[in-house]
Amino acid sequence: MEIDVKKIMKLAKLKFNENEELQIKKHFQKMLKLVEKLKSIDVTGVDPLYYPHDRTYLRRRKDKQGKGLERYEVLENAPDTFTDYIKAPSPLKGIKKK
Amino acid sequence: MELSSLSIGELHEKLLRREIRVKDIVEDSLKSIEKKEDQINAFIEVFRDEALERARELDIILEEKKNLPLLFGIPIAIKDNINVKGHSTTCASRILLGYKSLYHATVVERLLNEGAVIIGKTNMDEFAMGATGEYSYFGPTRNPHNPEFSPGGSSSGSAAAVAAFEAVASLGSDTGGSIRLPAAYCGVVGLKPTYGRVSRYGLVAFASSLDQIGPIAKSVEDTARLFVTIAGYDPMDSTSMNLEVPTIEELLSSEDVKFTLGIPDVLDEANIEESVGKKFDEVLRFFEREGLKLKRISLPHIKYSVEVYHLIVTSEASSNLARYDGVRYGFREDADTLENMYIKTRSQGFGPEVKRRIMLGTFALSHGYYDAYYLRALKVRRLIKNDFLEAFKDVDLVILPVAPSPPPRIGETTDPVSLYFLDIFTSPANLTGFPAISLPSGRMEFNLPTGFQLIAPSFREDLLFKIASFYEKGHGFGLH
Repeated sequence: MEIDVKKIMKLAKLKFNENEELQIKKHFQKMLKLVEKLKSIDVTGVDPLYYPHDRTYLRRRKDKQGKGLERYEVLENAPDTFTDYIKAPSPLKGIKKK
Repeated sequence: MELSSLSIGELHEKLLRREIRVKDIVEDSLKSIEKKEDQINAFIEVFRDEALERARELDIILEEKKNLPLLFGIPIAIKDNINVKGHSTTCASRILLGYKSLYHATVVERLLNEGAVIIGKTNMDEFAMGATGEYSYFGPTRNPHNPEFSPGGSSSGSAAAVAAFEAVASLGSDTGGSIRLPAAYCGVVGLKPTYGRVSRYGLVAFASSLDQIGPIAKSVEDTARLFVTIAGYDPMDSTSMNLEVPTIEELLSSEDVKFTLGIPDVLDEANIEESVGKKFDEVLRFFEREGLKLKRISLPHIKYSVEVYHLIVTSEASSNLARYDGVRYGFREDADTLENMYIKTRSQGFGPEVKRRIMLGTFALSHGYYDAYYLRALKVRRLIKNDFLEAFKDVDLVILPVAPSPPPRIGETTDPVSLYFLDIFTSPANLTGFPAISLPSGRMEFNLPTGFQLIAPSFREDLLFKIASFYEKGHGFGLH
């Protein structure tokens, strides 16, 4: 099976140089060959197991206001800030006009 | 003698007899770190001043104490994917450089409430992805029993720190064997609790349906002390279970161990190295001699564990690691547009193994492939669990080696896929959620330890501790 590695790179927001891309391709081939054997297992009527425990124990917390993080603390972790905001490059720049 | 080589119980006796103070234990641990770290590299950060300050505080309280909380004055090392407030949490990755934890993980909060001293954060495979401890931005950790070899991963530093007496005990995380494998390779005890037994709040997510925090220690009793401290419901983790946690006394009573152990038939076909197989047979003979029943069981789908595990783990990781975009915290590589900033930050911030896994996971979840790979893996995951449930009708516990081969030499393995097979016996407990304990079973060539594991039904850690203390009494680990 031919995998479009470039497309997956785009989806994963990762970039590789030519050599790395080749390595990734090889890795994919190995892994896909490995998981190929799963195709021989009869899974008709088997429900997928997303979490180890089937019964949903998920509880909701009470909708009560609690103490959150301080704004200044959160901002201290940000690579770039401007006044009370986290700064990032413009999301609009570089988008081609239709 | 190094104080960190003693068990928690022995240290507490000395504290209560006023033979030593907490300061002595902490200083001893720090001395050990100073002496050995150049070689072992188990720590990413050592909390020297903070630990000494905490020791001073605890020594004041000690004067009035007749009974000590479970972990009073005990230096404990924390894997660097668990948040400790005020310190960095790097996950041994470049992408988290500069990030400072704004809160304690629930497990850390609970350790502190029992009087523990957090001694530092330990080295690991980047984002817990690895089995040898070599995939760390901060360089590999080395096996304290022979530094040419790997200590196992991904909780490499947590296991090595305990084995080198740099800390009395530690916390690791186990997604596919990351506590049990390094525990076995370092000759210490490691427990992966049942999924949902321990809160994951404050643990950096790798694969959310598999991750579980657990203890690593030199003895079964020390492991139990940490386990009862960190286990239990936490409203901050919606997957944590509201079930009663057994007491330490309940866990350690080894009177009634007339268990039947299941030996999976997969061992017949598995490629187990002779030295490991020999030690495993010795363990089986021990249990047989002691009157336990051994019964062969069939787990027909367990042989697909590595494949199933890697499809699920990479899928969940690719989703969880999407948050590292250089915007809110950690490393950022500047670029002209937002999109380019994401790509540059992620490409330069993540190491090769993390990128490989993100790529495979992104593929397995992508349109057109989801059903054939991710969904199919989840279905086989259920078949693996059903096999175990069926087996548990006949046997109390399942026994397996931890890994099929001894620790690899550092730098020796160049093919990442071959390392994936080190998880062959450990990943089933993560896929099914069952608890499993890794126990030392002696030394092999080059002074390297090996271990075996026992797997119990969900929330039956009590069975694991009962048989583990029985084995420890009869066999003796001999680490100190």
